Amino acid sequence: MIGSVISGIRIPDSKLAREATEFVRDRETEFLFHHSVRVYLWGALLGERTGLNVDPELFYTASLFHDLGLTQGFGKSQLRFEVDGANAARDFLRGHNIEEADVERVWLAIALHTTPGIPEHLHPIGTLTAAGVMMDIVGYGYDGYTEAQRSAVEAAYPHAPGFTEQFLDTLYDGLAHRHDSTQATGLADVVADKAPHFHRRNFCSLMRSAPWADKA
Amino acid sequence: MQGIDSHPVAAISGIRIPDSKLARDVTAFVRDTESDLLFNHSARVYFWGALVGDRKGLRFDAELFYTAAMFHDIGLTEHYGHSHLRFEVDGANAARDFLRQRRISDSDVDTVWNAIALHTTPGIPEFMRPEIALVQAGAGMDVAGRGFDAFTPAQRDAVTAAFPREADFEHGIIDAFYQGMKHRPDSTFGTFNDDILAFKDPEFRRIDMCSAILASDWAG
Repeated sequence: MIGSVISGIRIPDSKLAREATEFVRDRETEFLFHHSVRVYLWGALLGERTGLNVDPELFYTASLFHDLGLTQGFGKSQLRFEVDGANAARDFLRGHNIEEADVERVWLAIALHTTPGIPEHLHPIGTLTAAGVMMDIVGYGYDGYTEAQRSAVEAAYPHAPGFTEQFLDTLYDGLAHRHDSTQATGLADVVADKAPHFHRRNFCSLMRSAPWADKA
Repeated sequence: MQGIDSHPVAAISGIRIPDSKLARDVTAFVRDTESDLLFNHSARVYFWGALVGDRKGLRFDAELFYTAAMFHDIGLTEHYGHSHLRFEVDGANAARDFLRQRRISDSDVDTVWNAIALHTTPGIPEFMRPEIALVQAGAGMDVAGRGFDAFTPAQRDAVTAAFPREADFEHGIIDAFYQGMKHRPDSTFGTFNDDILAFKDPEFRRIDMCSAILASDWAG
């Protein structure tokens, strides 16, 4: 928990970190909360290994809030769930008088955590958030962690049995009322998997049916 | 582009291309690097974006926005024929190098970098700085007609007269996308760029995110 050290990584125990924990713990299932803490641990371990330095409090906030947009509080939102989480983290950090440049870094880290090929070029908070997520759900970079690191993280915050299917269900629960917010993102695959009638938008068809086509 | 001024400074539908050394350098660089199709597309993106910005009362830096609009597709050009980054990142990096050489501040460089890197990412740029939001809005209008009816016919005619949208532009730009990405199909995972590859190459198989999750090392 707060203040504990797992495989050499300390969970931040400042006032801000405690409040972030409480805020997210009150709104997320234990399943999603544990995923978010593991994202912090994978990201922090990767940061140590690769020399990417981040402010632990800011990175902890980005990790904890990254999936908050999937929760019930956003059951009427039509924004991308990533943006809902990013906005919630922004409000939280502004409420703690964090400077705007840092707030923007956390916002972008959360907003882009599902966007491939971009976060590795961002500020390390963005790089490590996306890398931690991809390690936890897809196993990207799995072999870059030692067996001891993986065991320590798993012992403290285990992947629940049946994690993968439950994770896909959790994603869909947060997206069921806003299928179109996933168009042209990786999350459209989740909607297509769960909702057989979902019609994936095709970029080429979109261009062909554009009003411009009348003029060609 | 015989007979067409590639850097006209007179207003087109009320919008001007900045008449500065930086903007002229941008025009010359992109003019030398891109096909007519991509160059004219990029210039139109500037005008559509600037018109949207004016209509919505957004304040944006015209030089930075012009740079971002003009560089946004440069990652599709031959120079990146061996890159395995996303083409958007190649363009963003090219603009960053270009601006840093001209001593533009880091925060302005970041804005242009994000505008280019995120121009194909749905649902996010509209919440970022105007220069970032407007590159995507302009590209969406030019490529897919997004927001078409919010422009007046006079605006559309003036912009396409100055920077013509050639006959069968759709197939032309689909082909430009394909030529710029066919050597790096994996860079299109989780983006709509994979639609282009699927359209042009019947052998191309999209990577499905659910399959990727289910096949992860954790599942074993």
